[in-house]
Amino acid sequence: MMKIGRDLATENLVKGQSVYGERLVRKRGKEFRVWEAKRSKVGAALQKGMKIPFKDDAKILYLGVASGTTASHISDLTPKGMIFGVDPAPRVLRDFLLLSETRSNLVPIFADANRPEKYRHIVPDVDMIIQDVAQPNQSQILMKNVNMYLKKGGLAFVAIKSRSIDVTANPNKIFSEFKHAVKGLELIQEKRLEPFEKDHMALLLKK
Amino acid sequence: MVKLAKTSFGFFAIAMQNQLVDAHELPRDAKKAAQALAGDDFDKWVSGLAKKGYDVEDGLFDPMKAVELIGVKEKEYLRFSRLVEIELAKILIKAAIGRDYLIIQTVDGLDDLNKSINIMINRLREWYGLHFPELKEEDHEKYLKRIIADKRGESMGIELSGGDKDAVQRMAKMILEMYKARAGLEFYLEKLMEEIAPNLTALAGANLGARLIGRAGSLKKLSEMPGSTIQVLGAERALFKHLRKGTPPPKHGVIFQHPEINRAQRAIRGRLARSLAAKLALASRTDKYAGKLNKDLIASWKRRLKEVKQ
Repeated sequence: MMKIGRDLATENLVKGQSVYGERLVRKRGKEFRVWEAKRSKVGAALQKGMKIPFKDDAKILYLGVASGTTASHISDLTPKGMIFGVDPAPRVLRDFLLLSETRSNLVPIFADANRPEKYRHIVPDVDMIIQDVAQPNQSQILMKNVNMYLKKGGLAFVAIKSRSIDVTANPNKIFSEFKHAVKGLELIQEKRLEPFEKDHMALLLKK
Repeated sequence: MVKLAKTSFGFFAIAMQNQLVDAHELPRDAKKAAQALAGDDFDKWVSGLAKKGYDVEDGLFDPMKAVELIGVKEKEYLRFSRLVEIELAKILIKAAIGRDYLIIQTVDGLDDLNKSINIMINRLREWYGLHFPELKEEDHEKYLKRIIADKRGESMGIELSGGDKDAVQRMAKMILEMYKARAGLEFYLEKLMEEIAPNLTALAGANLGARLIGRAGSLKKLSEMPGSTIQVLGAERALFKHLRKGTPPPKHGVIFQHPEINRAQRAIRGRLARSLAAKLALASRTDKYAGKLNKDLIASWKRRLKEVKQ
């Protein structure tokens, strides 16, 4: 990962491929893909200074992978690893499936993260869980998956959209309730995602 | 007690000290393995185990550790499992997309078509108006036909050459084709709705029924919604404003298009919208899970309608 101007960028694993219309930049004989922080909550958290260690052989369970905008950058960062991307929406998972066919470290899983036993036939114990699901019971979903899949010492990155949990409540109240609900995990870092996302917070947790 | 593992390489029963006691291996062919995982092979195998007298523990074993017992290393596990899962996702996505998705595309397509027709009609009226500004014809289709006939008497409009006329008439013909396409799509939507959602169609009409499916995302999602949500589908702005700021809640969303609602007196619209939405919730569930017209449901709406109107 490196900085290109104000933006972050990852070295492209598939030369010439632009996944979601992001700019490709050549630097020192290598090709980089600009990571648009407005389109990716992990990208936004990194821009805000969160330190997320991505091992190049990490196995990652990604809940709410959607069409794979963010997953594509993590795919760049973990060339020897494997990203298991879960999403229950057929339309977006179809896009992620097509992307997966071009990148040998992506796996598309058509399932609901509320029911983690549904993908135990493929997902082994993992080093990291990334969650971007925007569901009212997001903390429950996280804990079920952490209990089933995350290795001891493994990390969980969570993006919380307070409006998806309760539009009427104060975001700060939602965030503190969320932290309370996952207090079995150690809170390593937290960042608000303004100005990239409104009323969002990212947490990095450790099992 | 044995633990079970379901993997893309096969199904395994593992006893204490990681001893493999039963195995049902799958073909090392991504498509075939995916088909086995999508079907009920695993459940059959599990009930077979019970017959053999094994006591099965809840939950599944880490699949990657399980296949180590048959000599499959991590790298090979990840490589092959990924290929299987791609095939499995293809099977599952295909099964998840029902004919109700055609309804959504058709009703959205009709909206796009209407917008396009309106934009182009306005352009054409300006265009042909250069030549024949006196032509008073409110009806768009008739106006288009007049362009093609191109008969004008005394006019203050400019003269058009043969080539000028070709250009404007070609455009007029195309819009007339769009009207035909629209009629065709409307007919198709009726048929599709009667086939897939007969109860919604009977209560709300094909167009409104289709819009409700579109707002919900699918017939299945609509069938999982309570009436109170269906009542305000399409009025999200008003609803969230109500929740945030305490403004009055919306009485109706797209169901306002129902003639019994928009023609009703103001005072009873909310009450009618609420009972219609409740009946629509029942109708969508009947459509999703029975698939046949339920006359009692329609009759009960008619009864309620009478009661409220009195």
